[in-house]
Amino acid sequence: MNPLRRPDVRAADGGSLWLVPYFVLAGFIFLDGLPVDAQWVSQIELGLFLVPIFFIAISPSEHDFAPLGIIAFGLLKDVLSEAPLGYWAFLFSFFYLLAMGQKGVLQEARVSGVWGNFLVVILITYFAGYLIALLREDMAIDFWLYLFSAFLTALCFPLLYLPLGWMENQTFSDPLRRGDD
Amino acid sequence: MAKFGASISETRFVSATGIASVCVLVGAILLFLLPRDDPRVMQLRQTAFDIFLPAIDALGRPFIALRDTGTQVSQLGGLRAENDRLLAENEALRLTINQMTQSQFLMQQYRALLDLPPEPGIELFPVRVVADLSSPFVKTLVTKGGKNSGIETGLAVIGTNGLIGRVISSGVQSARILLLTDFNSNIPVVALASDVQAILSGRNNAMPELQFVPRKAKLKEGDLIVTSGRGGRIPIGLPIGLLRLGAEGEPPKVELLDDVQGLIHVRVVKSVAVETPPDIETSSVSRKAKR
Repeated sequence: MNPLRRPDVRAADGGSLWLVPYFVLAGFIFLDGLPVDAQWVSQIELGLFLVPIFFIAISPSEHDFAPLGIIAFGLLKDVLSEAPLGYWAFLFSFFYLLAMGQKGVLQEARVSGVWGNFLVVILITYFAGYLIALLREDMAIDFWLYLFSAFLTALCFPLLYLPLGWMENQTFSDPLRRGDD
Repeated sequence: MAKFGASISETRFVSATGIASVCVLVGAILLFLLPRDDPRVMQLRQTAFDIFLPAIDALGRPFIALRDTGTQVSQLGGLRAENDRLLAENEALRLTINQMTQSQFLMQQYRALLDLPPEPGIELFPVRVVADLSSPFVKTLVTKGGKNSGIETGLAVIGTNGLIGRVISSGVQSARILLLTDFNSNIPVVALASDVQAILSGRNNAMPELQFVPRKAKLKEGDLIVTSGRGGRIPIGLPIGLLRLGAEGEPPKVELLDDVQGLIHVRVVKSVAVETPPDIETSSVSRKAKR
């Protein structure tokens, strides 16, 4: 069952726990620069930071400033990862926009459906990233490695999505927080 | 009432989509209008690293400690073999030191005969790597220690065995190193045995390529590539790697002496930069003015 299948909940009910995906996103941005031994790891652009963005985009709790937060994190990623300024800001916002478009469909979908949807959205986003690299002289991306990175990220999706969903579910199922009484 | 609620929800969704669309547009504008090497962007990156360095350092420490423990445990089994290898290496090094002492003496004699000016001395100081920004499109390191440790932009950086890159910007407490493997790295080098000058260019993979090799140059497989010192900032003769000749038509590649992945400590080469000669036009104008 999809842990986010609760169309009746509202943003204000979740306390400050709605910030957790943002903290996870920030954590992944900071951890992206961790020194690693293996050459093959550095060739892969694992987009684990896209999972919390996907979660924020399809979450029933709505925050109007979410896109602004996403682009701010994108700019932070650009600055800290040495990517051209605007690269990740564009891809984060683009990914968020694509995922948000799926929100209505995914409210009633199973986890496998959400997973499949994430795969499609991340493939489109990575392909957009590859096209941008083609247009720029200072970027060289191996298409197949980039595609593999997207698949690998999609493979890791449930490891992050399910705990985040469970956490939000727990928050909203609390009668005091939901305001049912 | 239900209708009213629905319209509020719809308005919120539309506005969020609108904001997201504007964000996409802003991202695209930034991406295509701002050049990557814009000085303001470079300054912004350096300032951001100075600000976020403690957070990056703190988050990375447990992972680095875990990795080091794993490496140590895995190396325990090979201690005896490692000891034998080090003993053999030590013996070979003693021989090399004898040869080098002789060469150094000869070099001093030749320099005196030719009346050559003394080469500026170099000073090495170690710094710790806190972030490795190696990804498919960028190869840089961030070190803990910047201007407060005497690290200046343009200085060469070496690993355990040879050159790995150069400092591209230095902040108060952090510095960014562009690795030789980065797409934007270009270093003047010379192939030692064949005495061929070229430019070593990164290609975002493990082996950088030699560019601008003279057509009639005869390169040798396994030749040691060292810095040529052209440009004045990077000292002459720093070892880089071994030449690997590929198939015909392919540019020759260089196998770096150091593995640039997972470096924890690197050494910055502090050297005296050679002053740039005055511009011909400027100097002629100033001469005219003096007259």
